[in-house]
Amino acid sequence: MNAVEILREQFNSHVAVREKRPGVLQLVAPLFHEDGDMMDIFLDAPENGADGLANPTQKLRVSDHGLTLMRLSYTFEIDTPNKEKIFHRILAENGVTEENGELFIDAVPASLYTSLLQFSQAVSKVCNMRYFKREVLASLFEEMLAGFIQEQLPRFRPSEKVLPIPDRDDLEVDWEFRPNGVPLYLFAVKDANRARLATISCLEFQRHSLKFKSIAVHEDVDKLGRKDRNRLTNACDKQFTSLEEFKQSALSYLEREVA
Amino acid sequence: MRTFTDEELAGLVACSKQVVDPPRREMRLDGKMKRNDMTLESEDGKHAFRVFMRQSEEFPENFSVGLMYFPGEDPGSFQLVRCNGQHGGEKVHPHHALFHIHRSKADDINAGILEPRNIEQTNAYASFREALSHFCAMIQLERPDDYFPGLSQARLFPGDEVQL
Repeated sequence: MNAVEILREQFNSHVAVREKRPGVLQLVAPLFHEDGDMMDIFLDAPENGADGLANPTQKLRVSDHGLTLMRLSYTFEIDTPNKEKIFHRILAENGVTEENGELFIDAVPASLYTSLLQFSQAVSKVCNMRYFKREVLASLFEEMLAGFIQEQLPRFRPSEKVLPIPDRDDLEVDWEFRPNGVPLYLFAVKDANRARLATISCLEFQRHSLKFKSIAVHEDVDKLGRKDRNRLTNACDKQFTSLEEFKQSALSYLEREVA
Repeated sequence: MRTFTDEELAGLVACSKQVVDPPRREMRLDGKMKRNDMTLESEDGKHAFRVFMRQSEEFPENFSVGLMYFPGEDPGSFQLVRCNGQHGGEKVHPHHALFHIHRSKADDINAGILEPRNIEQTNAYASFREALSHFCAMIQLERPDDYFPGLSQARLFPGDEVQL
């Protein structure tokens, strides 16, 4: 049996190949992307052609010919050192090599089936890097903030979704802490709308002569326009420019409030 | 989270659009693909879009021209429509490499599935250039020849219906 026949047997006959180019066979197998397109996987025949395919020790190259990164680039760019790091980690964990945008894995005929599945898994993981889009991560901002507060700041008695003026349910505070006798209201600010709501809330609480302190934690302060930023700065006691900044400084800040 | 209807999605594809950030005159080579991009907005300025153009350097019949929509709120950006060349096959025709068009459906988007899973075969084009011409007509791009010179003559059989 040659390599293709071995693969067909390993794949329980649920696989076909067709010649894409001389020496390049395209795999037709039940391996699909989420949008219904079949994964682009190719077998590069060895240079000695049919003889190589029949040689059980001859390595075959399973490759995508650059089409995985082409697909990813519809919606996502690997354009930062962190993204590069994640990309190369996915490849390393799956034994896949990358050269000039082409992903491949070399396999002997006996292990072609498992290598193909391993390769398809790597392709799938690389395509799933699209979930690292900034807007997707931004939508996790509040959850990540909540996770940090619940895990790291329980001794400051955090309460979620508090109404300082009970009959004003439009002025809800994201988190309340009690580091000392005075409540400390935290606003999670992920966009301009939330910045405006935090500003209005602080001003209304002041108008009702409530005793409180306020902090705003921004998802990214640079995303706010100058006017929104100025209004919030004037109304709010303390701001953290990012979740990372809050994570680094929250504990010492709250401890100072206790003192 | 904002929800959509299929009529809204079709309206977003078909609304007249102008270029905000133009494409390069030539596709640029990036690894094993050629690529180009442009940013668009609807004529009324209310909607933001991005067009991506990709073509395999090794297999020129394998290309994609797609329209991303940026609603500016949840569920985030997603592809409205994508014209594909001939690649390995897809779920509807797994054994045939056919020119095909992907479209997003409202039920999918509303359920958080931001992939254009609706696939239809097309006879509207047979090359990247023809697909780009068909695509620009489909998304009602204003003055496409300004950005892709001679594009309106790209279709050899211009009688083919543009499906909106």
